[in-house]
Amino acid sequence: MSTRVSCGRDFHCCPNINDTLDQACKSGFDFVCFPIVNPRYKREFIHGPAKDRPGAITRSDMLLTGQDWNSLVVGKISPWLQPDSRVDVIRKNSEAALRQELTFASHLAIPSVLIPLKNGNITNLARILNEHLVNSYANQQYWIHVPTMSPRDQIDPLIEGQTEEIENPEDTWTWWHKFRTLCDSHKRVSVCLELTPDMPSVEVQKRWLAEPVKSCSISTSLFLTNKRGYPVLTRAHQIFILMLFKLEVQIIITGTNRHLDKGIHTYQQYLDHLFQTQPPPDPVAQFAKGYEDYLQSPLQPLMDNLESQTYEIFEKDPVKYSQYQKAVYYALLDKVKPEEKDTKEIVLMVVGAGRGPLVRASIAAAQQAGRKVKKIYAVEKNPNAVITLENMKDEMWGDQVEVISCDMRKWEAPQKADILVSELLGSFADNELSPECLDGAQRFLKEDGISIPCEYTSFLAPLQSEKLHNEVRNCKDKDKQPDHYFEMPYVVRLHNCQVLDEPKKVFVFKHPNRDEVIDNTRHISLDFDIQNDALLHGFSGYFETVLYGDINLIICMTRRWTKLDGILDLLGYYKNVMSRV
Amino acid sequence: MDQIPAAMDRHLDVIQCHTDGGVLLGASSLTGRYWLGSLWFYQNPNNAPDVEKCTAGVQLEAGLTDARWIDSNKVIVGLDTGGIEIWELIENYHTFVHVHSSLEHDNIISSVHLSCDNKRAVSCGYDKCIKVWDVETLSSVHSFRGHYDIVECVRCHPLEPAMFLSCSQDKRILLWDTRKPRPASVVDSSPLENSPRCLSWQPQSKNMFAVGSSTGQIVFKDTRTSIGTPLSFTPHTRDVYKLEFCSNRPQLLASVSEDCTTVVTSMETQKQVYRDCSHKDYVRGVSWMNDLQLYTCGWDSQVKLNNVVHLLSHKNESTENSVQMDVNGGSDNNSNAKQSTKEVKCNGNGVTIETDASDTKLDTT
Repeated sequence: MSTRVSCGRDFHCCPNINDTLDQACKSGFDFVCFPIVNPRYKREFIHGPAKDRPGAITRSDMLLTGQDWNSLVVGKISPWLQPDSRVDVIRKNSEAALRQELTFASHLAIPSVLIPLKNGNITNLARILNEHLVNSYANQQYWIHVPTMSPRDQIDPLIEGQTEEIENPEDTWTWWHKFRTLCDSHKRVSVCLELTPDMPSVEVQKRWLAEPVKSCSISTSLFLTNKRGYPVLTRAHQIFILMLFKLEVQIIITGTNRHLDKGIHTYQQYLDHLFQTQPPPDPVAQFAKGYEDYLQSPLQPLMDNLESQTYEIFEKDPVKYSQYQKAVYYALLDKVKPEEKDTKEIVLMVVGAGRGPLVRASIAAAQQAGRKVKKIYAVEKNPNAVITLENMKDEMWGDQVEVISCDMRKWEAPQKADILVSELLGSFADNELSPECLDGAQRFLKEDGISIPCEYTSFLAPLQSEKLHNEVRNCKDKDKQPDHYFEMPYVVRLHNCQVLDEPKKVFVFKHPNRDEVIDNTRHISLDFDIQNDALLHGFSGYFETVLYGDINLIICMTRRWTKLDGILDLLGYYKNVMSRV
Repeated sequence: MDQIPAAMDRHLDVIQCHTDGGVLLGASSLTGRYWLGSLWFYQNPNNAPDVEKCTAGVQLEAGLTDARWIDSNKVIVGLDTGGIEIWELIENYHTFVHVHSSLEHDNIISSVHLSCDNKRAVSCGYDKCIKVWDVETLSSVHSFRGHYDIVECVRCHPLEPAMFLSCSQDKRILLWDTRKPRPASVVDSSPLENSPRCLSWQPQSKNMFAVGSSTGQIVFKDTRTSIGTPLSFTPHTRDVYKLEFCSNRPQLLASVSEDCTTVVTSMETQKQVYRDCSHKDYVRGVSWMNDLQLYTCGWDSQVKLNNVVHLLSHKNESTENSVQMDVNGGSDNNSNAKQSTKEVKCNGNGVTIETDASDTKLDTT
């Protein structure tokens, strides 16, 4: 995340582009938007004297250096184009002119081209852009300019018989959705969202957070004036812009300067100020910086051996181990009554000990509880991690801890345990085969022994995210089926996305499993209720686990818990995303 | 003399006849290095658009789409910057002096018009807004957002200063009365097909107006719904850009179009009275000098004097083609015009009518 917001100035009229650029830079803007061809310069391609009009259609590219074109300019296509007109002549002239402008924009290699949508009638426009995408400059972006509310719903109540309130506001997201679907969600087609005086409902606003919104256009007419005469935005607009800042949008200031005594730069300064008022990222967000929407294959610690740095990352988690310590603490207090504290001794096993953090937590818990733990077995199948464990035993733990270098499913334990502690959960609960492992370990758990965790549940929620969808699409492998990468789970720090409904419970596992026949297969069918039109790209998975009693761990942010200390967003967990075509 | 620009901007967008016989010319450069504009006055309109022979000329900071005479010396201009400016001609029309400017529109201005008492001006533009101005101070009195797309044209009522018509790419025509709390009402535009692009009130009329469409059609009708039968004809093959009624002969309507032609039609006989195809590019400006002469200018950098002869064919007067029209002050009685049965043909070089002097074509050097 950058330290300041990138802010540009929009010009609809540009008599002298060098002056315009100078003016904009002096006012603190980072880039400018201006028309590729004069917006009034209508052209004829079919018939008539105007068809043979001599001369260039616009000014020379030599007026700016290639560097300037490439880094400072966003081009705008002409406002008179109507490629979706039902009148043949208008449509054909518009198509030809549009192609001319798009080609010249490619020639200039400007980083972005702004294409406005006025209504939902955009099929031909999308088709022409799509055609052009195939042949154009590899890095040119197309910002599809969509207002948050339809202009039809933004007129003042001036007409006799018109209602005050907006009835059934048009959903402008559907215009964008239709457009990008026709462009096959091309990664170079993104959104420039125009803020309107009225904003749609919060759900509708949030849906934009799942879209590739690259810029946000704010008219000077939306600004109010504060007591000292400076331009400021309404609270509703501020909230939305702060949401958009998370997507690292660039801001475009459009419209005439309405604060003549203060200067156009005050608008840019205000946006910068707003940017600085964002709360600093919490430690988790800070840690995850750079990993947003980055697809990772889920770990398979049973099949593979984890690496040293992986363990190190997990061990950094501030919440998890203190929760485990609490759980062991309470478990010990329950297992050993105060009157038994000098006599009863507990056997504790940490299965899948890794580099020993749970062992340390258990020792600390025992001390805290003032209960005797006769033996702690640290079972670990990864021979490399065992090296760390053995060293810890030598230097710190001593005889209290027994290091067992063995797969817990195969180990023949010399005695049975009172407490079995494990941390074998993946982001979707059982996806790292915790049930299978613990089922294999519970044979050395006493009849009245307990497992920490004693229960875990997976959750699923419908997800909209064009970004992630495109990331998955980019994983191509000629040796695999085309849909292969869509039919597998990923671990990802969800960012540019929207969860469309409350997550629902999927599968529950309890430990120890005292069923006569242990069957870990599961099947479920879920119904989700989605309020607004949306595009379902996939599902996001989460889990919750009960360690002991009311000590929990969850990575599901939307679930409400009474004990806030149980909520965390585990660094190593992120959220498991399953993508579907 | 040193304010006169060195060259004429190529795209002639505006021409407005002065009551004393001169013409105001507005020119824009829509291509080329600088997209500027300029304002010119020619005491002798035959000299237009020759830079050397102008009476006055001044550079504007951008191109202009519309300009109107406020009185015999002052002009109001609508610019591509969204600015409205008032310029005055002083020193016997030899120097332009800047009087006021105001930058309130957020986008290009498409049309400017003056109320019949010359106290108010109305402007509209690509920002979908219509603004009403006090001409003395050039401060905006109203700002209306009633259209949801580009507003193409506004025209003030010929008799009532508080009223005006507007049309927009949102396909609607609105009639405004600023005295009402809800000032706008929708005018039924049928049988206009497609988008309205320009309007003109019939002079001295309370309710009759003409609207031109983006497909070359013109409809002449009453603003009130279902009153009278609308006249519809399609003299053009492209957008009708501007419409102007002749103030002394209100049955004559001049239309200029992006098909590069100028047409004059009689509302009384619904017959085409004049047609000129000699412009080589869009015709943008049109202004009646008197009953018989019409000036046009266009993007071919040409200014043309069109001699229009009002042809009235006796045979057709009372046929089904003529329509009863509610023209205030009685029916039109300008029958002192020459009568000829000769059909007006368009031969690409201007019209030659045997009894009149031929068109003088003004070439630019």
